[in-house]
Amino acid sequence: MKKAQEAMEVPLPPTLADIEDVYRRGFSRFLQVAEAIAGGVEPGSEAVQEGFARAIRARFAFRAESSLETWLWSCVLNAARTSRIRERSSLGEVGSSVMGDASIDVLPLRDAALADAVSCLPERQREMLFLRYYADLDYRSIAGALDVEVGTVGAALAAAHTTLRNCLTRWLDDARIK
Amino acid sequence: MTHESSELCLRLHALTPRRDEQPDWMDVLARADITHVPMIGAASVSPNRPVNHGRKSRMRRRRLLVNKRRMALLAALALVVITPVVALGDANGWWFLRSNRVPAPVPDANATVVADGQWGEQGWKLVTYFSKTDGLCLSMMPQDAVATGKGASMSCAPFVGVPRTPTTKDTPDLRITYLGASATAKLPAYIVGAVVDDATEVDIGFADGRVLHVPTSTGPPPLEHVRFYATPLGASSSGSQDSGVSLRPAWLAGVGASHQIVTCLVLPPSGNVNPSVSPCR
Repeated sequence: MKKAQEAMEVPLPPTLADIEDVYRRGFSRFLQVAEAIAGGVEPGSEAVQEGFARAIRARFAFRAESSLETWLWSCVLNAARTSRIRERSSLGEVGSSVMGDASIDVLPLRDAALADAVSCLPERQREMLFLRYYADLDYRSIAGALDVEVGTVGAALAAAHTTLRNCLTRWLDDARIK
Repeated sequence: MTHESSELCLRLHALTPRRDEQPDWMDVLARADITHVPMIGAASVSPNRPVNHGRKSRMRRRRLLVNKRRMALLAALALVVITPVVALGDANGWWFLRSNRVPAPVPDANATVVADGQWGEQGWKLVTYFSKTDGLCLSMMPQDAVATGKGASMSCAPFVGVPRTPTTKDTPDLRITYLGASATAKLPAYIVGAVVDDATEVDIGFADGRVLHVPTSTGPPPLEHVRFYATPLGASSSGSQDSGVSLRPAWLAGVGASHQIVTCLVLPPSGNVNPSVSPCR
C-alpha cells in the first residue's frame, strides 16, 4: 500500500509537447532575457535553443519542485551564462557601447547611463531584473528559476531599483545643469 | 507596477528590444538528438518514457552512450584534419565581414587599416568599414586575429563626413568616438577612436583627474577627413584594469594644432564615479 502511494507521488516527466508549448508561447521572452544575459543577439538565440535542448535531454530528471516553465527558465539561464562566458573568452567586446558627443540629445545618453548602471549590478541582481521586467515573472517564479528564497528576490530587486534610480537621477540632474 | 517601475521597464526594454525572430522547434529537437518525432500540427507529441527504467532500458542507454562517445571521438579526429583547411579559408577575409554579430557592412564593403602598431610583443590593427545601419565601424584586433576576431573589439557610430545609407540610424553624426577594452591575454587595456580631421591630439580625462595626451594620425583614403588615435592604458593610468569602470574615460577632447579644443565629449557618470572637471564645459 505504502509502495503504491509512493509510486503515485512520483511526478510524470514533461512530454515534448509540454516543453514545446512553453517554448512557443514564451519564445520572445526567453530570447530577450537570454540576449540580455548572454550579451548579444546570436549568443542569446543560441542559449534559448541550447537551453531547451538540454531541458529535453534532462526532462526525466524533472522533479516538479517548481512549475515546468520555471524549470525551463533555469535551463535557459544556465545556457545563457555558459554562452556569455564562451563569448567573452572568444571575442572580446564586440558591439561595445559607443558614446555620443556633448550635443547628442538626452535620451540615448540616458539609456547609455542606464546600460552602464545595469552592467555594474551584481550578476544575480541583473538576472532578477531581466526576469522581472523582460519575462514578467513573479517573485516566486524568479526564486524558482534562480534557486533562491522569495525574500532574497524582493531584497535584491529593491537594491537594484535603488542603484538604477540613483544613476538615472544623477544623469538627469547632470543633463539639466548642462 | 509603480510609475517608477513602469519607467524602468520601458527604459530596459529600449536597451534590449524584443525581436521578431521565429521559434525553431525542429532545431531544438535536433540539438537534443530527437530525430523521430511524429508531426501533429504545431505540437509534436512523443510518448513519455516509463518512470521506472528496467535493466534492458539501462543497457540500451549505456550502448547509446558508448556509441555517442565513439561518434564524438570520430568527430574530434575529423576536426583535426579539417581545422587547417578552415584556418586557411579564414585567412582570406576580415572576421567582421563574415560575422553576423556586428553591424552588416554595406555591399562590396572594403576594410581599411587606419592604424597599426605593436604594444609589447603583440602587434595590433585598427580597422574600419562602412556599415549599412551604424555608420563607421572601428575594430581593434590583435595582429594574429584579423581572420578569427579572437580578442577583437568593435564599435560603430555615424560619423561626420561618412556617407549615410537609407538605413543608417537616425542619430547625429559624431565628431569624436572612443572604443575602450580591458586587458586580455593578447593586448593591454586600451582606448582607440576616431576624431574630426582638425584634431591633431586627443586628450582623455579620467574621473580621478589624470589626463592622457594622445597624438592622432590621418586616415588613408577614403577616410582622409578622419583622424584616428590609439593608446594602451598601463596599470598606472587605468587604476585597476579588472574593474572595467576605471578604464572608462570621463571626457575626451579633440585638440587642434593651436591647442584649441575642436570637439569634446563628456560621458555620463557611471555607478559611483564622479565626473572630473572637463574642458568641455
